[in-house]
Amino acid sequence: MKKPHYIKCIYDCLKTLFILAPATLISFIFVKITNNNINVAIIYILAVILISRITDGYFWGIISSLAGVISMNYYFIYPFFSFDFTRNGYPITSIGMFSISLITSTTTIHLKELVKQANERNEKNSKLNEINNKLLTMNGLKNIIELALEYVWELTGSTVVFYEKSPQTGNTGIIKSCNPIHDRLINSHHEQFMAHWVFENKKPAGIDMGFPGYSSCIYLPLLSHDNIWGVIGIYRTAQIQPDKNTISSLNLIISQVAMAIEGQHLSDNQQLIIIETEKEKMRANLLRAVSHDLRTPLTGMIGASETLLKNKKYLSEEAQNKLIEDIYEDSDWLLHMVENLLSVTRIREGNSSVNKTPEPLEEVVTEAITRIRKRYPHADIQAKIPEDFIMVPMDATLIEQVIINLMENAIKYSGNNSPVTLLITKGEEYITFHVMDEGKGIQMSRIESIFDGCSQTENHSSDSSKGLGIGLSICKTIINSHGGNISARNQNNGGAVFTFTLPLEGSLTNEYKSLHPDC
Amino acid sequence: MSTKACILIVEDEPIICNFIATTLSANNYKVIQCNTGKEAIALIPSHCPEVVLLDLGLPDMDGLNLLKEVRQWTGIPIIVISERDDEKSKVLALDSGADDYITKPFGTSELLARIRTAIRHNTRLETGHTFPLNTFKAKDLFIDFNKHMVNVNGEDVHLTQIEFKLVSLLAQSAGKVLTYDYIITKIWGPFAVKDNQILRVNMANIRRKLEKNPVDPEYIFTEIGVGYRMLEDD
Repeated sequence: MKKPHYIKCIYDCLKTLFILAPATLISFIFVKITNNNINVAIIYILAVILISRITDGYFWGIISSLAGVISMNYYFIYPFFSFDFTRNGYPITSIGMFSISLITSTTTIHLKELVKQANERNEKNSKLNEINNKLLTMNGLKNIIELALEYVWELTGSTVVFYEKSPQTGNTGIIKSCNPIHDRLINSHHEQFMAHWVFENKKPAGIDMGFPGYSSCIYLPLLSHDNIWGVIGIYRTAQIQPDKNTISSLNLIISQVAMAIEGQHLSDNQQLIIIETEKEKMRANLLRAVSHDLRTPLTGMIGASETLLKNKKYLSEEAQNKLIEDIYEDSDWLLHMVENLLSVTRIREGNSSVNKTPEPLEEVVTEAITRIRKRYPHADIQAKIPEDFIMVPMDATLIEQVIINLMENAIKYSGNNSPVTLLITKGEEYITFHVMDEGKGIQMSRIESIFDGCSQTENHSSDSSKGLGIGLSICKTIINSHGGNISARNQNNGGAVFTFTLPLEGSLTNEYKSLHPDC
Repeated sequence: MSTKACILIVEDEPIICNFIATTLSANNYKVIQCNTGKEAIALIPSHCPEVVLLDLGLPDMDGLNLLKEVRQWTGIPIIVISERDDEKSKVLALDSGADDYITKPFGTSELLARIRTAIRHNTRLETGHTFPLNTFKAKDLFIDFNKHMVNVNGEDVHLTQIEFKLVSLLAQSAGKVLTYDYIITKIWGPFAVKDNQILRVNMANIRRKLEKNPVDPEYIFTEIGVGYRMLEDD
């Protein structure tokens, strides 16, 4: 807290007196001892220099030099204790002493000013450096904006608002507030229009900024390379004028923030491009795998039907039936494939997340099992699910697809007609699905890459594992986009286990029933 | 079947149209085919088919609009043929008056079963015979609507008021899918919240009481995203 002006004045006055009085006393002693008044002038000049150094401004320096000349004349120059400026040679001494003390005092004060300014500049520079460093190391737009608000707030001591986009496009500003009344004012239509105007014209607006109309804020655009990255509004009433230094630091901070935001935007864009390329690559891979996998059954179907059409009379009925059966099987497989691909399109473009709604676990499992039964009427399927009524947030169609894919794999590839078990357990945060078979298990070399979508190694003919790769990679995509995990391993006693989890967050368990006893 | 039931196929895809027509003819139905919605509107009153098979994706008009238009003047059974993965349009079709739906691709036995159900329901409606039903029997499930009694394997099943209402509603339209909204309106009234949570909790309780293994149901089937279907009565 700064002292009020008049108190400072009194302090300075006292300081002056406290230095002048001892100076006069010392001079007296000096004159008494040496009986010589030559050194009195020196003592007074010293006193004046001291006073200039410890008081503020030029005033006390000048006053004390004047007082020095007068008191020297009064006390130490003959006639003692009376004024006489006319004595021979004395005017020169007086004027000389006065000018010397005046010049030294003003020089001292000037020097003091310079030192003060240099210190201030240093402080400002180090502050700016600090801001700059922090802005450069800061990651994320939100952090940069928060930091900028913090600094501007510190600098101006008033409520600050930041707009990333014009408030008239529905963007709400981030406010660092000193007073809730300021917030209300800033959010008024008029103020929002001012901010909008700054976005449109890329020029500062508000008080003293040449924008017509009254405003409680000044709005400064964050400009970099002719692009506007945001607008900072500073609340202030017209009475308090910020000084020049504050304004210049403010401008510096703002240009640095603008650059930091631009940098952030650039790196964000780059990130996006990288992700986009990655996705494009994935899509291309999937497409390649799919076309390869689709060609096989299509070749079979075309060949078989062509044979039937052209050579029917040469074929035995048994051979004909075999061909028709092949067509049926291949088309069934194709359908399975297409359903898998369709499910991928349900995963929303872009943010790779799914539309989750709470679904009763048992209904989803039931439908999946019913559909598998339809396709494999002779398969031995067992399902064990928790007794409780559990609602799990998910896209039911997709999870159904995952269960079907895993169980179908188990039925087809376990190598014998062994039972396939679906076991579901409920944990604290996750619900876990296990699909187990008692077949020959997964080859160790393939466990790692089994979900990668290209599991056809050279040792395996593409026919023996057709569809497995894509089916599993789709399962992985689906489970991951639900926020769960999928893994594969072999059981100790043989047979493969595929395990996947779904987060239970936000689901309804049987607490629901206790809340609604009437249902 | 002594008299040939007449079935109208409204489907623009010639291969599918052909396959359905062949199957139905082989199963002793009389088949009329048409490729556009306008043609269908002209054919339905003139031929009075017993069942209409309607593909929702027609070249000249939306199948749903056709459905609504036909429903203004006739109650003949309409089975909608729809794509998989599109629960919304299934629900919309059922709520706009379709009797049933069948999802592409479908097997012939499934198609024939749906057609039989539709015809039987319609006959009941027209003759007023055994409708509303007094009793219902499917496999080991026996329901007596007047006595409020439900039996599985000869053992009494105790259902709450709401559970019994649900089971009877499904049994009255056995073989048909009833949508969530339809069931909620019927049981809880037209102003009930369209939140199917309560319905599903109730269904889960019913399943636990009726089915030997709730995950492998025999009587009440779930059509995810659409509604529930009761096994057809014997």
